Amino acid sequence: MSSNDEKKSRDEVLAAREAKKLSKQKAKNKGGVEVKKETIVDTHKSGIEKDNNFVNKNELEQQKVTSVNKCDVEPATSKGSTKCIDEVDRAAIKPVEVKLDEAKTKDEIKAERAAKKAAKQAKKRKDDKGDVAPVAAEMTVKDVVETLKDIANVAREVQNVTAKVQAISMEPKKVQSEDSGQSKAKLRAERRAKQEAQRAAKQATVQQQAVPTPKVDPKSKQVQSPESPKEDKIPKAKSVEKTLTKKSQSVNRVNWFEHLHMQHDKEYLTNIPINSNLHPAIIKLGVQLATRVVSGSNARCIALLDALKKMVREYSLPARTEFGRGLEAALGASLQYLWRLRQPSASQENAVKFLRHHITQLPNNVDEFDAKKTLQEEIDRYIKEQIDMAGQAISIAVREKISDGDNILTYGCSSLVERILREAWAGGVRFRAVVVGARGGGGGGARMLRRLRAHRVPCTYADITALSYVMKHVNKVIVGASALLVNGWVVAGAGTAQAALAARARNVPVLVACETHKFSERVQTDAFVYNEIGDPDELIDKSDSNSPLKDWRSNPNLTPLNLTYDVTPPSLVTAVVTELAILPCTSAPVVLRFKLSEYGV
Amino acid sequence: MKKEEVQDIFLKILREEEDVSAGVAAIKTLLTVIENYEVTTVRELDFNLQLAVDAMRNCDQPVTAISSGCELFMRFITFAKLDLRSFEECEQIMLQRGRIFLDTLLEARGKVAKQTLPFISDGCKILTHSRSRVVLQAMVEAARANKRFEVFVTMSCPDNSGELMHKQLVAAGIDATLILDSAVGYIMEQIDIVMVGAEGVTESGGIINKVGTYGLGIAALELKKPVYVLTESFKFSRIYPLNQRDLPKEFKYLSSVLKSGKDLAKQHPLVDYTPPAYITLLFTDLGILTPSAVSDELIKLYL
Repeated sequence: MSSNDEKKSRDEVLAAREAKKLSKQKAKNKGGVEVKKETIVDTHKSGIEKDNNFVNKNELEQQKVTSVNKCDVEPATSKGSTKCIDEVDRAAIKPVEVKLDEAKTKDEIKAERAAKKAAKQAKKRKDDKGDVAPVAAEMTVKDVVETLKDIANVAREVQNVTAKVQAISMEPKKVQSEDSGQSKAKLRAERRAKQEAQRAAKQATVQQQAVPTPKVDPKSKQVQSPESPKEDKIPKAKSVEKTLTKKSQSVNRVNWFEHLHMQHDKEYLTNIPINSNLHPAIIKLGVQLATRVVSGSNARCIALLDALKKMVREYSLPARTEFGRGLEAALGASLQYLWRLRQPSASQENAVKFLRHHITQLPNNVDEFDAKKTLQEEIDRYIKEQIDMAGQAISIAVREKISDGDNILTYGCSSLVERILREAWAGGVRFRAVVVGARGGGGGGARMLRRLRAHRVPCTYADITALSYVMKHVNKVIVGASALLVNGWVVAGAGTAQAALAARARNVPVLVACETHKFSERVQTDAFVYNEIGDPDELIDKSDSNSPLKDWRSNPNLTPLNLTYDVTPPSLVTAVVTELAILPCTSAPVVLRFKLSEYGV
Repeated sequence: MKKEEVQDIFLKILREEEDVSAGVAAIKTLLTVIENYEVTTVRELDFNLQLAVDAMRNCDQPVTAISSGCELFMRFITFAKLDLRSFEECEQIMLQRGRIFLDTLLEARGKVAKQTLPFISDGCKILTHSRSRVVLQAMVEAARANKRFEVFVTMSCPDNSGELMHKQLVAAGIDATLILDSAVGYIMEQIDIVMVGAEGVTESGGIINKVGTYGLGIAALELKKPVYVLTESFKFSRIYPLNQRDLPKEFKYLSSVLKSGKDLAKQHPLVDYTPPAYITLLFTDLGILTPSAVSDELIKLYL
């Protein structure tokens, strides 16, 4: 932690030194730093509002995306934590302000270049604490801003989880952790207040460490926030020296999975290309995807389309470029950035294919305004038809298969399955949901349980280890999917194949709910060739302080592996429910052919 | 138009034309409805047809083939509805299409029989269940082609329809043996092919057929005998049962039983569902299909 801070401040210090040079230049040009400082203070207030709006909107979007969070956002959040989060947001605003203001001055590019240089130098040199000016810290500042926002989101999510879990009072252990979380939240709030006061004092002098202090503060606070894997992770990854992390990675990785994408490698969050070519919405989405703030096949697809819509709307066409080609290039760059942070899901690939199709359909001499309008409409239509209405159709189709008195088992967390069960229950079918969860990538069982309980669906929770026991009493298994491959195999959260196998062993029909926009042209017959490696920390029981897995990073012989997906063979799946029809898995090629002709997807 | 009239027409066709299956009879009835009842609008016609379908579903006959046949017929002729000016013209087109449709249906059985021919080899032993017109025709045609083979027919309780099948096979000069339903497991080891008809083919590629077929299929799979299903494509229907319990009630029981309000759990079901895993191939007028190809064909038909 402390090393992290040190490094950070060192970076900033150096960056700032560079910046000071610039500011001197500017002083010559413009009339000095003082003037600019004032503008910072002036715009500060409006900036807060702006940022708050931004956050709210963000929240709204997320609610829309998962269409579920609604239930767990407000009532569960304790007062202390809300306050705390708000303040974190506000803390994040400061740097944003600086950045915005900086953007106004024409020296942006210069500053950026200088900052990059500074960052490089930071590694070589050490104890050099010059003056600190807010000017050139832009790179790192922006990073911090982005991460902080996400941290705030994550923190809220975690608070919700714990609060909900307490409400259900499932596990006494969790309740304890919740308590500690709350008390820590209070502590944080207090500390926060102190620091506010400090900062106020420092702002008056507007000197030296005025900026680094607030910047570092929220972070150190975040670091201490309780029992959130993600919160811990982000600073940790940053803190560990680059070489060190690399070494530990290669040691702690299972060597058959070297080819797979590492999800828990948070290093990339430190060097996000803050480059004027990428739209802010895209950059934000990238961080959200990487930190798994946005997760789930549908949510990722909608978030992507939403970001792309914003990008299209605010795209400015370079001179003498065809609209389609220009946009295509911008799209390519954005996607390259996004896919590096997290590999695309089948739904995202299809959405991009669809958008590309429509971009190429644009006439050569199309008016920029018209083109943007068409594309935005098409994106909206895609979300509506392919995701929302498809979900509705599937929900209706599955409801006919659920009868009164059924025990419906579901594994992991899927927004679609949640919708099906919620609507079936609301439609008067009296069944019981058996939610099965696990640790690690595929298990979102607790989340699913929380969502279903919020809609008063009677639930039973079982761990995946109890699967074969509960299967005796189950009438149907309904699971969601991340993708349906052309050979009929189903890609879904890790553990789904096991659930399907247990169901088959008991002759329980397995239904996979999957919209056709998740059908993929890939072929895969095992989970090794293509997968994602999730954060190994998810496998570790946080409530157990004596967990032997706890310090896996320092043990070269211990390699926790958290795979995100697995594949289920068609022989284990009774039917796939799509918006077109209930189909056997083996009909995937027909659906793909059909869609190809219909939507150009 | 009266419900009883439609039922009379339908039952009369079934009675008089021995060689016609329930699905075809239903389609013939619908054609008569279009021909004989004076209507002036498309809506009215639609309404009439719907009424006729309902009437036929309620006249105490196995409903599986009726429903799939009617569904397909409606789908086929209603394409004519919108693109014509006068209603009379439209009606004529509909009738014409309906007849073409019926003709292809009547030809279908011959096509299926022809496709089955190479699969019946000299000296093979075939097990069949209940009475199926397609299976009968295929065997008769094989016998005509001078193939020597032996057929085992189950009695198939409760209506003992296997007896009629046996009689017809013997009449066609085929070496046929009537066996008990409970002897399926006993006989299976000496069998080369299992060949059954179907009342309906589901979207999964499984079949709905006379009760006992599922057991036959399980025994055949266990003893690794190929199961061939002979069926016309108008029996393809857009339902997807997950298991026996999930089959629609009206398929499993006669309408008179359903109306009587008896405890259904205590009644004999008419049909059962054989999942695609137990079926090797389906011989249809569209060609020889694997079970998974059925849903492909259905998607082509209905989407």
